[in-house]
Amino acid sequence: MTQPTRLLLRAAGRLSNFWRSRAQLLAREEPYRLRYVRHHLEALQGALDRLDKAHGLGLELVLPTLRLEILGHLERLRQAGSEAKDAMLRPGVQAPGAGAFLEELRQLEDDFADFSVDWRQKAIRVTTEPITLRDIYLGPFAIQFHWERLLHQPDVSCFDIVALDPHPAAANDRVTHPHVKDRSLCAGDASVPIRKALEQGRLADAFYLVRSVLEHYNPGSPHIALDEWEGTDCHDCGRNVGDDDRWCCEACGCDFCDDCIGNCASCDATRCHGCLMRCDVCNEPCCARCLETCAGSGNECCRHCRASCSQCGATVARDDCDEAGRCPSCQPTSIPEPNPPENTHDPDPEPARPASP
Amino acid sequence: MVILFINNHGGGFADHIEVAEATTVADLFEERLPGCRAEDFLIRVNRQPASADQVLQAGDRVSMTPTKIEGAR
Repeated sequence: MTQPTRLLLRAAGRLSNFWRSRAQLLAREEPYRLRYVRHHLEALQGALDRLDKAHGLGLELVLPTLRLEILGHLERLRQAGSEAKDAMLRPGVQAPGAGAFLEELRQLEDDFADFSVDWRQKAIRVTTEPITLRDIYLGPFAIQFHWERLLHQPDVSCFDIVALDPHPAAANDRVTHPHVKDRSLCAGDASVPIRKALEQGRLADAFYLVRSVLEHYNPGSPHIALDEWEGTDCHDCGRNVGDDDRWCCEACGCDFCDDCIGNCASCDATRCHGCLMRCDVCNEPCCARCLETCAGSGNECCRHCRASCSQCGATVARDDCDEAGRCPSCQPTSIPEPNPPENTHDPDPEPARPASP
Repeated sequence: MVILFINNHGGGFADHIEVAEATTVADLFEERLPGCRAEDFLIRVNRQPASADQVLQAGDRVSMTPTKIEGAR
């Protein structure tokens, strides 16, 4: 919708004022930084004088303290010098006039849908066309430039990116675009040109650059890759799960939901149900690495349920060993006790019953 | 002749530069952004869309803005 010229002029005037305020802030920075250098220089000079005096009077004990003080002043002076140098080298900022901003706003109005000025939020707002990247529909986005933020940081943080028909990543609904999280754009290669454009008052260029980032996908550095945008299907039950609820079986490498994943009772490794087996003795789920076939019985036993025979060293089920830790093969064969001879002496013979009368 | 050239690629700067008479938009693009493809850029002369063979005039404002630029996370 075309804005009345009166409103555009008002907005252009407001923008021009903000750029001018920023230019004034920057202009004040250089003398401020230089005053800071002078302050540290004088403090250093004072400490050096005291050091000379201490040397002259032979005050050896005070020398270490003075040296430390001088080192501190040198460090602060170095830092202040570096900041002053940056301020002095920064090119002078000339705030564009209201006329220049009017042209910028007209250009935005011509090139974007739904151009508007939000006086309450102090923002210039435009809308992109619906964006689809690699067959994933992300919807249209509003690009909002908040001019008050310019005073703090003339960079991409002045922009909010609002999904108008949100199709966020399954794993995180705060990610509405591979390069947008919590309404903030991670501008990557566009960061520097956006900053330059804002510094110079080229508002339309900054908006174009933001749009270029939104319309392009960098698979090397997304918040969430488009390949995983729709989430992942559980390999077992087929349920769609986001990254936070997705588990990867370390054995087969497939993705599973939290209902279809488990842990080895022995080593705690993450395994899907298909990659876990039961110990034949304790019946606990175990991974293949932790189960071993025992000699003799042929049972698959976990490390808690198996032992090495104390005599032959064979791996056997712990339950099959005797008290001395011997496997059934090594346990001595039991010799049947001989039958007691008949009519032997009974140590505690039952008293003979009296004969019936 | 002198034109205002705004390069939003890489460092992103605006500067007044000297160009030869009869320089076209395509000539300037090739000279200033060698190795890049014009179709990956939004090219404007005096804020208006421009054709490749448009001849530049003194005082023109030419901006070249990449349309494929990689974001990050």
